[in-house]
This record gives sequence, structure tokens and C-alpha cells, in this order.
Amino acid sequence: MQPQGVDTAPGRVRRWLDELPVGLAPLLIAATGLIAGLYLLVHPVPDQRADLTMWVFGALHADAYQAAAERFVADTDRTVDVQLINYNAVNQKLRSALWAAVNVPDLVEIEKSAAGGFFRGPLDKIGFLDLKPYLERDAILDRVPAHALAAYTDRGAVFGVPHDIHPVLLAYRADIIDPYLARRGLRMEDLATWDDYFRELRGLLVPDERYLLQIEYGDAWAFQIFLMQRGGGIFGPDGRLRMDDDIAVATMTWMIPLVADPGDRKVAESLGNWDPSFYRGFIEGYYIAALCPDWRSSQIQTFAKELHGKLRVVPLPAPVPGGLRTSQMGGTMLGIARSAKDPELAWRFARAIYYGSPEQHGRLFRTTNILTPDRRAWSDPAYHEPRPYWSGQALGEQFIAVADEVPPFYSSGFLPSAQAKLNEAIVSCYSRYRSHGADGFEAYVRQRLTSAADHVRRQMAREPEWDAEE
Amino acid sequence: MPLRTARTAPYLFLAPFVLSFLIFGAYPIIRSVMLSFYITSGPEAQHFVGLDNYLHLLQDPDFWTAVRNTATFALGSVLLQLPLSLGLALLLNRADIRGRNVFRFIFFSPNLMGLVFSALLFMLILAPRFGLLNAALHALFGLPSTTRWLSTPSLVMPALIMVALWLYTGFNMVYFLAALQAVDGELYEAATIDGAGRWAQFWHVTLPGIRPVLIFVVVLSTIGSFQLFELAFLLLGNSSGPDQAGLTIVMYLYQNGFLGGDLGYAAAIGWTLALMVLLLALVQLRITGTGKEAR
Repeated sequence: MQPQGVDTAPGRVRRWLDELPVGLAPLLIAATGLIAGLYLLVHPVPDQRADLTMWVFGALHADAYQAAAERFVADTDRTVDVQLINYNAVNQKLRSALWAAVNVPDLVEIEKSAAGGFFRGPLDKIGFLDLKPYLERDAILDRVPAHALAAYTDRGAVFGVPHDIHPVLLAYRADIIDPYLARRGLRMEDLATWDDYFRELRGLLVPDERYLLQIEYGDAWAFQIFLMQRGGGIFGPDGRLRMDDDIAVATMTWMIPLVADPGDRKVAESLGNWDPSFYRGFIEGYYIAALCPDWRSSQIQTFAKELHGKLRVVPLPAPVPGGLRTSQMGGTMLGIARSAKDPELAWRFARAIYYGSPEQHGRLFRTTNILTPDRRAWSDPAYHEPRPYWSGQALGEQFIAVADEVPPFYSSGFLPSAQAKLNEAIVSCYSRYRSHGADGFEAYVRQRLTSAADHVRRQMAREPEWDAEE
Repeated sequence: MPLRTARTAPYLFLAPFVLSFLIFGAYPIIRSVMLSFYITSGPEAQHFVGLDNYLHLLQDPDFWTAVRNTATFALGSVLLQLPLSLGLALLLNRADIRGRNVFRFIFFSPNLMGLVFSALLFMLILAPRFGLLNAALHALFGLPSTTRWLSTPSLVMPALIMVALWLYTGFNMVYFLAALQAVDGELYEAATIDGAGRWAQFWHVTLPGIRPVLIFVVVLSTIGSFQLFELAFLLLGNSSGPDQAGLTIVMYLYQNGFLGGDLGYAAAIGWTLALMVLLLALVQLRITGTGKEAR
């Protein structure tokens, strides 16, 4: 029994606890935190982050780089963490990371059309290192077609090295077209221009059942391919918007009737570019040819297995006799963050995966069909072996044959906006042609493209003179 | 408890929330307001433009296209979805429907699938020539099977509203079911004794009985519709669709902030959207008289 009036130790503690404003539980939480903190102070968790962190949005790229990273560790004793991130997420994560200057990867792959958005602002505050000195020092510029760097070059600085060059060929249903042409004493290789192509194959056209080419008219994808084939582009090398120049007008005036003509001039159709309908349409012969950048050839192989041995590729028919027989679509760059802990190490890894051995590129080509811009690798047997899926053609040779002719693509921070406006213009031109036919169509195209371009120019005019502000 | 402790205790209890709110709530809000007065580019480049982002926005035809599309979607959602939800709820609230719990689950289940899966599913259903919808329309009404639902400007919004109907009708039905079960059954008995027919019962008993929930669902659906992004973005292949027919306000914000790199303009779009939603909610509450009862 506790005598009254005697203040024992337990009593004092109890009273002190009772007087605590928030009770015992928060005290216990705080004490636990304090003990855990002290423990970590004495026994810190070793930093397990790799020496280099790389973000990649393509699963096949990630697999290839993972293998390269393992070799890199063996060679250099430095670790690389290759992280696969969704295509859309990588851009958002990177922008957020750059903005917050937190968790910025040392290396990152970005899709070409998104790259320009990262090149806005004062040169010295762009999130990527200028890689031109590295490319010059290691004599890599001579190994890569000059056009491959165009999309990643801004104000003279090279913010990314190209993973690919993506030449465009024509993939066609050899099982349907070749016998038809053979009966007429012709081969696909003889059809040198688009006019030749549509004229000589007209006999295969069956309205609503079979078209001669897949051309999507809900967006600017096919239009851009044709535009670049004619020497045009959305932006010029000086960053000037040129989506409404004469070449663009001529391209649109030529392309739209192919898909919009209510009569027999309609020779092309589309069931979509990216969904399963595209492949189903190709498999069922709804269209018998499609524009085919190297990466798309891989997708066709994957999603249209039924076409094994039924397809071939040829250079694109030219817009005019003697014109360009290829174009360009898509692309990926590898950039090194300005905040990279060890830029030299990052460059070594970049060089290892992008400009490594020909065998390494050959392995990647076998799985992705993507042609490296590194000319040294083009001699690897992988590029020259026949592919049964492609009717025994050496697919790599087909792409290599046109690789140096690929037209340059110039990026810009305003590219997404320009592409959106171009998409609108295409749909408007399609509707206009459907309702009014060829009457006044060229004038309409010019006016529509100009109004689309003016919208983008107004946006561009708001851009401050960043470098002048410096 | 001593007086000093009694005074400080509430503040200490509130402190964790207040601190985290200040850091993760108030600061980003204030920062985004400030950001909307700048043209931004990259991690460090900012250029003060005052109210120019807002002035430019008001003259930006793309923004108004986005507002028009979003408002069309919101109207479609509220005017079609809510009556359907309420109709389903009334039907599945009846005791004489056999297996009504199964039906309730079936109608609610699209909501469990998630937007990404639903978008992929409908890409296939809406596909031209090979899609289920076109095949059905062709078989039933002889309509062309090549209808490009997601590539024809005039069909994009109907397609989006249709998918949203599939996704959210069952979800809102659950709210209405809960509200219907809270309506006093004696009121119906009294109404029946007074000779009220079904329509009169619905109009004078059911609707007033579920009014608070109805207003809540209308406001919530409107706000949700104005925040439309993922569904349209995924269905239209990461784009705003043909002729910008699927461009919504949030998608336009995304395009400017995350594709174009101008977070300042994106912040201005975000705040304009917030203001629009606030005004809409206030108008809806005013029309329905909500809040007057409280006074």
C-alpha cells in the first residue's frame, strides 16, 4: 500500500504522462522514430544506387541494354541501372525530374517527336549535355549519316545521339501483286513513281474490298512521310515553320484525292494506323501495300504472322521520275543529362550501346529490324541474311540501300502543336474534297495550311528570346 | 488536464495535417498560381509575362475547341448517363426482380476494370470493318461496316460518350440505389392511399427523397466530365483525335505542359478550368437551391 503524500517515482512518471498534451501514443511513435533514426545513423544503409541510371521506353531496347550493362560492369566495374518506363511516362517523368532537379537519370532515351520540347529555353539551361565534343573527339560523326543528327541538333548543339535512322520502304503483298505484275511482264522494282504504281496496279483495285495502299487520313503520319519524300517538312533546319510552303500544298493536293475521291480516283484506304485493324486489313488484303519504316516491319512481323512469306519490301515509288525513293518516320535519341554525376562514364556507356560492335547491332537488328545509324555495323551478317517472313529478302540490305538518302527531320519545341494543327488541316482537306471534289481544292489546301501554320507562328511569337535574355 | 495543456493540445493535434497540407497542398497551389504568370521552358528558364498567358488563352482557338468538346461531353454525360443510372437504380431497387444483386454487380462491374483496359477494349469494339459495333450495326441495320468511329471528327464525341456511359452508368446507379433505399417506405404507402400513380409517386416522393444525392451526383459528374483526359487520350491513340475532335481541356493542359514544355501556360489552363468548374458547381447549386435549407 502506498502511503499518502509520498511522491514515488512511478507516480511522477504517471503524472507526467497524464500531462502530456497528446497522450502516450504520439510519444511512443516519436520515440520509435528517434531510436530508428539513431540506429540508421550508426549503421547507415549502403547506397545501392547504380553508378549510372538510364531510362528507356522500348522493351526490346531495355533487354539489349541490360545485356550491354552486364558487359559494361565486367569491363569497368561500374554499374548501370536500366529502367524500362512507359513511352508517355518517360517524357513526363523526365520533365518533372528536370523541373524538380530530383532523380534525373544520367542517360535517357526520348522519342524524336518529343525531343524538341526538351530543347526550348536558354542553351546553357537545357537539361542535356551538348554531345558534339564527344562525337568529334571519338570520331563518331563520320560513322553516322549527317541527317540522323538533325532532329537532335539545336542552335549548333547536339543534345542527343540517334539510335536509328528509320528509312521508309513500301511493304507490299507479294503474293497478290507479283503474280499480277508478272502476267503483265512487270516487276515491282519497275514501278519507279507513285503514278506508275497506281496506274499499273489499278486492275487490282476493288472499291470497298481492296485498295492499293494504306494511307491514314485521320492524322499526319502518312502525310509527313510523303512530305519529307518530296523534300518538305514541318520545320526547316533554321527552326522556321514550313508546313504551309509550296511542297506541303503540293503534297496535300496530291495525297487527299487518293483517299477522298468519291469516284475511281480513290485508290487508298485505312482502317487505322496503330490498332489491330491495321494488321487485319493487311492480312485480309483490304489494302495490299503500306508505308513501312524499319521499325514497322518488325511490328508487322509480330502482329501479322499470317503474312509469313507473303510480303516484300521495295523502295518507295518516287513522287516524280528520279525523285527520292525513301522517306523517314520516327526515331529515338539518347541524351545525357546535364546533371549526370559522371558525364564521361555516361558517354562511355552511351558509346558502348549505340556505337558498339557490329555484332551487337546485328543482334538488335534481328529482333527489332531497326537499322543502326552506325555505318560500321552495316557489314554485319545480320543485315544481309535472307528473311523467310519477307519472302526471303535480305531485309537489312533493303534498308541500307536507301539509308543515305533518308531526308533530314528537324525538330522543334512547337512540333506537337504543329502536328496537331497539321492533323486538323488534313481532316479538313479530306472533308472539303469529299464535299466539293477537285474544284478549287488547291486554293483551299493553301488557305487551310496557312491558317494552321499561322496559329503555330502566333504561339512561336510568344516565345521569349531566351539566349538574348542571358 | 492543466490549462496550458488544454490550450496547446488542439494545435498539436492539428499540426501534422496543417504541416503536410502547407507543404503538399498550399505550396503547390500557390506555386502553380505564380507559375501561370510565366512562360516556362526547361528546368530553369522562366519569363514573367503577367496576365498574358490568360489573355492569350482567351484568344486561343484550341482552348475554345477544348472547352466546346469538354462541355459537349459533360452535357452528354449528365443528360444521358444520370437518367439511365436512375432508371437502372429504380429497376434494380424493386423487390420483385429476380437476381437483382447479380444485375447490380454486372452493371457496376465495368467500373472495376479501369480506364486503360476499357479504352483498349473499346478500341477493338469500335474498330472499322472488324469491330463488334460496326458488325452489329451492319447486321441489324445494314449500315456500312467501315465506319471510323475514332477517326471521323463528328463521331469521336458520340463514341467517347458511349464509352463513358458503359463505364459510369453502373457507378452512379449505386449512389441512386443507396438513396432510394433511404426513402421512407411509408411515404409510398401514404401516396398510394391518396391515389397517387407511379409517376406521381416518382415525382413527389422519390425525387424529393433522393434530391441531395441527385444534386451530389450531378455536381460530381459535371466535375468529373470536365476533368476528362485518360479515356479520350487512350481511345484516340495518345492524341486529340481527328480535327481535335477529342481535345479536352485537361488534354490541352497536358499537351502544353508535358509535350510543349510550357508549364506556365499549362498552369493558366489549369486555373481557368478550376474557375470554370467552380462557377458551374455554384450555378448548379444555385439552381437546385442547395445550401438554402442549411440556413
